[in-house]
Amino acid sequence: MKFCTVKQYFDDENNNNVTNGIATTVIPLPNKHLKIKANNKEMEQYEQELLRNVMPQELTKLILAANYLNFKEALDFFCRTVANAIQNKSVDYVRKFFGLESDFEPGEEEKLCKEFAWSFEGVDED
Amino acid sequence: MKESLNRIYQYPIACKELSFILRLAYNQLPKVLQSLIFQDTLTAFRLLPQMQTCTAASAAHLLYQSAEAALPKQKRNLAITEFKHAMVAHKRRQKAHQEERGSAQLPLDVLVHIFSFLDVQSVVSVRLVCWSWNIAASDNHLWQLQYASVFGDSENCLNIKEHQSGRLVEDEEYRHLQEAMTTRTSIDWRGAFIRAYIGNASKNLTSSRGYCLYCGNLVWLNNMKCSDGHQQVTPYSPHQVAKYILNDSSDFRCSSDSDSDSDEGSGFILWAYPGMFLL
Repeated sequence: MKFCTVKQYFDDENNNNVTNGIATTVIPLPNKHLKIKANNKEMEQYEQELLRNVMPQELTKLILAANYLNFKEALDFFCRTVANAIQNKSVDYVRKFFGLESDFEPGEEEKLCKEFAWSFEGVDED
Repeated sequence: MKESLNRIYQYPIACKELSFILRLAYNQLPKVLQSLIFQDTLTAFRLLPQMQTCTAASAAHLLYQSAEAALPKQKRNLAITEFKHAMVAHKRRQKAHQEERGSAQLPLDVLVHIFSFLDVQSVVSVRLVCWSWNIAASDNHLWQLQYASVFGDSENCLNIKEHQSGRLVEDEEYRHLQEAMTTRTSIDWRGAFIRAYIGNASKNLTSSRGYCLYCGNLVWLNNMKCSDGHQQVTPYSPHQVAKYILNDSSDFRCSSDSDSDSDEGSGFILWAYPGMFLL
């Protein structure tokens, strides 16, 4: 049931969303899940190992793959990892992390900043 | 109109406006205006390849349909050719763009999902990263979650308000929300959050101590929740903390003499574990 889209994936030849490398990482996950179902700590360790050396770009690809395959647990896990990585970090750090560029016009960013000025306290140093 | 077409985030809106104008008023407008609108429509199509979003593509499509319906023959043909060129170029660009970016662009719903794990501060700062993140971070459902987690959901709100005194601002706000919920009007959760936060600002959200109804004890708060993750907490100011400890100890002193263990009371337990204060 978790693989409702996997069959579709294998049938779909023209698939840009999931490269082979990512597939090999994501697809064994449900098997592992089933094996270590009761033991949460082992699962955590396995997941930590998986993600220790993963770069942000890899992570986004993993998320896209999990999203495409409709794999909720993996998606939740990857999203949580990303969320932990950017939690309480400065805006520039997050931009660098994802390799994004600001597409705001000069005045707009300041305006948005002011809107929630009261919350910009206690941000982590980069 | 032309300037707004140039901006990515205003492009879809401008397109929609143009399509409405075309459908509703084109025939009635003087010739000068008609040609102006036609020019703008062509510009919109020409700019489409630069707009990377799908909303831009669908807005342009809408515009194309309106143009098809409203424009006289010659102009219509021109518009159609322009649109077709634009769509081809747009698709070509999208493919190239995806390859070079390495699909680092996450779809909006995935972004919202990620943000649902963040606390309020992070959600707010993440809005400044880029425009699509801003849109994702302004998602109404996201702010509903934040509101519920920080201020408690409707039942919880009521409990907390009973424990606090002189919170007229909150009560009004709460009544508004209740009204909105019963009449099923859509609530602007982000706005509600801001109002509630500012109403609470000095006292509660900076308070890191509170009384957890679930644990039945004073706890350290983490983003308005007990460290064990319970949401039913009442924030306490330092004054209230002191009162709680003193009240507790006096209560226990009055209780039965035989049970000397319970004489300590939870207040003294707090002192017995000084490490807790260092959290």
